[in-house]
Amino acid sequence: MKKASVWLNLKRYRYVYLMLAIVLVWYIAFAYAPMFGLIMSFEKFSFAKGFFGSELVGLNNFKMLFSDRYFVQAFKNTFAISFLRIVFEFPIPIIFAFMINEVRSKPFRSVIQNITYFPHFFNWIVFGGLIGSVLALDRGVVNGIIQLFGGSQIDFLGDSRYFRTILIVTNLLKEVGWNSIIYIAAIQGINPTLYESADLDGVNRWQKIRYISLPGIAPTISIMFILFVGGVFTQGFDQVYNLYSPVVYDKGDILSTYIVRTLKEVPNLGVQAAAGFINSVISMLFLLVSNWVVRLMGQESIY
Amino acid sequence: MKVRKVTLFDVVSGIVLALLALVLLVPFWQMIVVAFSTTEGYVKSTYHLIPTSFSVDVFSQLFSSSEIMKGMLISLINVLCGWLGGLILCAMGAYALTKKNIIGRKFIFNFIIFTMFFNGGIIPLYIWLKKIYITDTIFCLFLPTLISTFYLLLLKNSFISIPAEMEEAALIDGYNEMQILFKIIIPVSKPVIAAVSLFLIVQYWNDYYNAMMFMNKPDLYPLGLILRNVIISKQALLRTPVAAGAVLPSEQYNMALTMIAMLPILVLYPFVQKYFVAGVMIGAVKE
Repeated sequence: MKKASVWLNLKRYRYVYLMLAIVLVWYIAFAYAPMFGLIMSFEKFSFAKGFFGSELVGLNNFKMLFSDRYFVQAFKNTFAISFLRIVFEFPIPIIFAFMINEVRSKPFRSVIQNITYFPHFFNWIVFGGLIGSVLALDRGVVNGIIQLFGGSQIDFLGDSRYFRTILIVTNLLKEVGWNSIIYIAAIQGINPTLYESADLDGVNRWQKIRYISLPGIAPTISIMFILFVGGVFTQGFDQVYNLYSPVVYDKGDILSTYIVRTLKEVPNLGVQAAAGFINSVISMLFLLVSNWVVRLMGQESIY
Repeated sequence: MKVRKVTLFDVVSGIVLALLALVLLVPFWQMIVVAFSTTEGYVKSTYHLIPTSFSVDVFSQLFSSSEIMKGMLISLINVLCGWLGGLILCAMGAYALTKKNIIGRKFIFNFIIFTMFFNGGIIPLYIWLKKIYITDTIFCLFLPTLISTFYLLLLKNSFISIPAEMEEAALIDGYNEMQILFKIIIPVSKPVIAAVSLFLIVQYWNDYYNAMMFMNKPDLYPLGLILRNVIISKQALLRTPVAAGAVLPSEQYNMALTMIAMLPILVLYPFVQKYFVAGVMIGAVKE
């Protein structure tokens, strides 16, 4: 481009450049500056000396992390819990969508939809607090039901054997309705003439689901699966942090909660920044792979 | 259309759905029952499924507590700044990216997208915010999360589909691009703006994370963090030996506070329902 035309372009779009500049300043100040701050994970960081003045210690912080039993545990837990989420939290909203779609009574359907969408809008302080009282030992409804049938009380939130199950089940309760919206919309978007001609052929309901609905929403399912896998690794801070306690760290502590928890217990900023670095790199790998697969499938990826 | 026969599938699935709804309603119902019960009523009842007493004492206690009222005010300010600031910045970035003739457009696009894949993590962010004197001010509640790249892209995808003729007409009328964005582009993108607004309002009303990480002044705690400190510290205390002598807030107090924290969302809910589908659809699949 010639100098004159660059000038003309800048002048012609000056308001656009102004808006862009404001946005980019934010990105530099709040997204890129902390990235450069990651240098502290290679330092014995001292606040007074700052990001570029602290003493460099090479990979020491990372070595310390991997010799910390609690970090290794959190590392493994993050993978294990992510895996459980993919296996259970991904498919169940799809089944839920089919069930909702088969409900014929409009009022019943809209009541169920509203009740199940509702908890999505609360954070885990609110929802976790309510779950906490339902699962409580002495006054909790769940333990009341267990005792009614002759069982003995279970300390659900205080026993690490149950903790992962509770994470999955309670997150499903909170999100199943919301996560099904996209599938319900996809099912309703299928061309109705397909069902009409199936009716003429005397096809039953299972066959309609199997041969029309399911293939009809297959593209949605596959794209959602990839997005789900891409995001699963960074999920769950809010839930875990508000449901767990020291007794369940061995099964429940994940990388993001490990960082915040150790920061509050024994601040060692260089080491905790290194833990964050590892977390960021792994979640980036998840995202890159899933995004690459989206493109391979010929879908225009959202990124 | 012919009437279908009620089959076993209908019965089973109806029961499962009804049970799910019931399981979700019980905790919320208990919350209401407990929040409105008297101390004696609370002690007498075990599961709080049937209201046996009625009192609004904890509510008057809450509404006269300056800590809670201040927390609500902080949360409201946080919602307004985070929502409007976030929406305006995302819309400006989104609109600028729809302009094909911008120099370095591809680079800027990648510069923005990269932040979706990688971030510095919470510790460097905290140190940096401290260095630039943002921690312990009201700005630390919304500035660090002000632009969501995800919403920026949603808006961009929606703005691109607006016919160019609308803009050309406005240019001829002497509008500049900033006026076009605020007077034409945003008003004609109502569903996506409404959906993003909903998500932002809920996000900032519920937020406690920014405050927990960056705010050390209890005077400026938003309601979410106050609620967390009350509820979660109680649950944690119950699991540690220290609990024996400590004075804990009553369960009625906790539940009433939870109800107050839910209130704005309850009020908003009926008005935004119609945007749910638009909201998630644009969020997931772009065809």
